[in-house]
Amino acid sequence: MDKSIVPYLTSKSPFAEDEFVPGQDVVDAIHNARILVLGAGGLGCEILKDLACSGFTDIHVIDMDTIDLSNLNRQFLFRRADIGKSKAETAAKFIMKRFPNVKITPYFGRLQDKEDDYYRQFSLVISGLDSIEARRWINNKLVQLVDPNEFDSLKPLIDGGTEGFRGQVKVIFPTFSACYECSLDTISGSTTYPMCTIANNPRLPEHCIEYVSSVLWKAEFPNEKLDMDIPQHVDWILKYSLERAQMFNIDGVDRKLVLGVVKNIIPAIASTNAIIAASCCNEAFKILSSSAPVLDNFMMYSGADSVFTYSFAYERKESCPVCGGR
Amino acid sequence: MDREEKYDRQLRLWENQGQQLLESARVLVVQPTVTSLELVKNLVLPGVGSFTLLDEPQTVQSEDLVSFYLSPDDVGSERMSSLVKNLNELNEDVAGDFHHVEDVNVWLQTVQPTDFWNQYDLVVLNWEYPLVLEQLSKLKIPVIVTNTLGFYGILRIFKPSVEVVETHTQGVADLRIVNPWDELLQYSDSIDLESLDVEEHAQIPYLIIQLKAVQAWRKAHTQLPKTSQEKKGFKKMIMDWKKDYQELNFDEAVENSHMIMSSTGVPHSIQELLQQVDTRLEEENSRSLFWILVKALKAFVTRTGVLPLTGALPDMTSSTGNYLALKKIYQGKADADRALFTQKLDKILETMHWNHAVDPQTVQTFLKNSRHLYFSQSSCQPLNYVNTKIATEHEDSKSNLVLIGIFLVQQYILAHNALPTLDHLDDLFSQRKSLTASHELYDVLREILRAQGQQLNNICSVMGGIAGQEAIKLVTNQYIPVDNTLIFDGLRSVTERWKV
Repeated sequence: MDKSIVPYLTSKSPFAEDEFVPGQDVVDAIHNARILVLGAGGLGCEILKDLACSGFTDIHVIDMDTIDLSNLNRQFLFRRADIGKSKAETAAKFIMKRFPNVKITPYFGRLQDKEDDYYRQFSLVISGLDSIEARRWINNKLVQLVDPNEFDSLKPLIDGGTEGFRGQVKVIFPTFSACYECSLDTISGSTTYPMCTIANNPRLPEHCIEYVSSVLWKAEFPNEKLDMDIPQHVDWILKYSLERAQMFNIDGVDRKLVLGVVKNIIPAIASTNAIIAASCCNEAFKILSSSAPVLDNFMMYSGADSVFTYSFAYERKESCPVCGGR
Repeated sequence: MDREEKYDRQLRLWENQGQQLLESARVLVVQPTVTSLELVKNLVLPGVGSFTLLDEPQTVQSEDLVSFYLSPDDVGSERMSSLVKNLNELNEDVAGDFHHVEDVNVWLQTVQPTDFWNQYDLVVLNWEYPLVLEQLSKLKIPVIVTNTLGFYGILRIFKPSVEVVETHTQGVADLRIVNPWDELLQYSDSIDLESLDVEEHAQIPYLIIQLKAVQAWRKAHTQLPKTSQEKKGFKKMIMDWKKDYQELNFDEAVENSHMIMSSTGVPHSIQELLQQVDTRLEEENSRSLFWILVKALKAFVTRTGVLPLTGALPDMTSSTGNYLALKKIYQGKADADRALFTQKLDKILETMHWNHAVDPQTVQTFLKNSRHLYFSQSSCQPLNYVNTKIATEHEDSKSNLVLIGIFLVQQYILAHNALPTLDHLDDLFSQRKSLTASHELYDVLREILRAQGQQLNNICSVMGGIAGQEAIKLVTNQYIPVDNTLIFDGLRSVTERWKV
């Protein structure tokens, strides 16, 4: 089934790492590696496919989300009939049906539910998460697990992320190279508006929506959490945002913008996910086989204006609260 | 509603206009590979109009199952029909089909009827088959050639001219601080910073502060601040106007002061378009709406010296009232500029006897993007010894050797209809002629040949992703496509581009 990788692992390469000894052992190393995939969304679906097509047979996947209609333009392991089901379980089922010799173990829940021993069983972790907090959590966990006296305690982490036509890949060897936390200040969080702007001096339609969703809703429904997946909630926010915008003579409030602002929607397309996920899996394949040099250590991709990639070695931070001094 | 929700995450990028073009695009994929099947997936998911796979009839064998788009259930079935079935499953809005030919290599070397090609808006090939490229170039049908060899991938785009209005390029907004128009200046003059109380003073948009600062500076200096000493002085002047150290609007005026100078004038790239517009319009086959709009832009610039104002105003610290008043002035100017532009355009359309009406939305979009228009011409030549040498001799880069290596391998494939093996290494290396003196090409070729015809799924997925993205750019006519050759080197995780 995965004969595609065999020539690359059983013949000498002019560019391989020094420790590369081609042969069946390397093929077995790929077969037997236990990989953890975090997230079964846009990146996760691609990662699972790429791993299954690259000789990996023992894959675990964690995702706490269920399938939504707006996922179907890129999360290609899901169909309309799957809406509402667990992403991790549905993705695992799909891949195993296509590849009977690949075992995927899904977990429908949070990363934080799992004990240290769970994470200790893996050779490598690939993350296709969409939340900064979850990435920080797993990064911290993998740094904590490193025992200097035990080589196997080091779990490489490959982190992928996308936004529209842009994306990035980070290869992290916990305590040996820059960790996710070291690079945290390069990550832009979601836009926030000062309270005095949204309360007193709104100028943009976004300011009106933000006021209604963060101030008015709480005042009106102190005991009900705003949930933008409930149509009545969206309608309420839209109605009062329009009202507020009209009061201040501001144009441009509509349903699409309301959803974008309140849900903090990030544009996402299949092609960027495909590129970033496959780059992550290419690095995983290279790390576990030594058949080629590994990315050192960050790669940025931009596909909006032609195609541009930039790779660079991000330095560890001595003052890093997670891996500093370890 | 349902459709908008399903495609929401991409509509936020290319909007309904782009989506409609995507949904009407018909794509032909000749001899699908893992790479081009990935490309198809990346078009089916966002809702391409239709796709057609062309190949010889074959029965799916169990060893075929390296493709994700074949399942164990398909063993024993016809390959193209199974692939189409599995790809169609990805999106119920998309209709794919297949086209069988008896011998694909013969087909690639036969002239096809024009009616056949005209069914498609984009054709995807694995290699640069000269006869196919020649036919499609005459018909102006764009072609993407993409493939992988070992850890390397190549993408080439064949489109004689690329004209993009909606480039989605981010740039500095033109706010006309150093060359304001009368209404803006009058509004600014109507505000007397001195007389305002601290609270009102802190609610004046920074543009007004900058306008006043430029005015004040000009009273004492013959030219705008240029040296770093002068710029420091300019910023200090603004800071000295603060009535309270907490005034954010004055901080913003200083922070954004570099943009005062950089945003004026017609950008170099647009000047180039204006210079060549008349020549372009003389050529019968490049007489497109794009160039007619550029011609109207030229008339506008000749008359006013500047590009039309877009009316866009960045957010800034200000009271609602002050901001909206300013916005109204910018919007008013944008409307006036549009009226003048439309007047120029109508005149041109009349002289040119252009019979199609230009809808206001097209004009609006053009004006919104008039600082960021993109045009490029491409020779549409397959790689050969001459253009490959010219492309690779400029800069010293490792990927030059990859491009040369892939070119040599492609030469072999086109001549023999088969992949070379390690046995051909010395022979291929000797074909390099004067392309490179570097012995490292030998290693690159060895790396390519050791694959024994097997393709790495990860490299195919990267290339299928990039090619899918470029296909979307070509059919939506938004964003700037690769011009015109790209290599992905999965050993070093880098991409590199050449204009061949």
